[in-house]
Amino acid sequence: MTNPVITSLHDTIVSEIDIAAPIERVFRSISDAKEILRRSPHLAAYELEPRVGGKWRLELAMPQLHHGVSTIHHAGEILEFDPPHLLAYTWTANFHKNPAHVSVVRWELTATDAGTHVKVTHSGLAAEPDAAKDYAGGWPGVLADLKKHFEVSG
Amino acid sequence: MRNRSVTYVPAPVSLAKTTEAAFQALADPTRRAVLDLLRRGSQPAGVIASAFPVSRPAISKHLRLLRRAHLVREHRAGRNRVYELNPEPLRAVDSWIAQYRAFWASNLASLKAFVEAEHARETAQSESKSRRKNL
Repeated sequence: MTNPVITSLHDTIVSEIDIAAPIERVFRSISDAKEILRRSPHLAAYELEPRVGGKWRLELAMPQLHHGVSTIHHAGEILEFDPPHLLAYTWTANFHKNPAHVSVVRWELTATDAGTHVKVTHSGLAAEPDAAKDYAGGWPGVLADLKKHFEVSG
Repeated sequence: MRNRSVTYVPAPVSLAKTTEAAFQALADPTRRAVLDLLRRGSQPAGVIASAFPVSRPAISKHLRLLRRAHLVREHRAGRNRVYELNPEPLRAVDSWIAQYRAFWASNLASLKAFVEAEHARETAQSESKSRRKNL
């Protein structure tokens, strides 16, 4: 797929793309802080400790206030680190209403004939921390069904 | 290497109060089941209560939370309170998530542009090196 394919189910967004480069090369560009700074030169800071339990953070100065903050901070902890296939980390944002709210970003890379297939899953976007324990019993179907319902009837 | 500049799209946005109430309301399995029931049509409170193995006060509390989140509307029909589904707040829930969809679309497109350009450059470099070696 040339363009990113984005699907979202409930509070999880799955994004996929094919890249014409070897899997090791792609993994480096998502896990190596120097590479990420090169890729996004306007980031004020990017750090990532490449190990399970390590920390990552980024800083981005905004030209104008963004939801009340002049500098965006994202940060979290590495949950899975298995080069060149898997990288997962928690994700918080200082401009969220609840800055402690944790969602999870998971990168899965697969080698293909043409290069690398990249799948990113960002989950836990909507759940409040109190709701997280309820997750397993969770959202399935409800949001999509209701949306379908009101799109048909609304 | 035309695609080297990368736009960081600041993704998420704080939830508006009503959206937050909708998230909170949706977090509970019984309340989701009530909404499912109401998809089949408006129901009197008594019918809703008898459909669930929980106490009447518990159902009343769930209905109150759903009403506060504007996910249901209540009106009176004779002696009955009748509840009707109002899916409107779900639009806000969906549009909040839509911002992250846009974020990841942009992020992956820029990753692809960067890695493919870098890989092409590195391949060309190592090829010209090995050509030089072979000369």
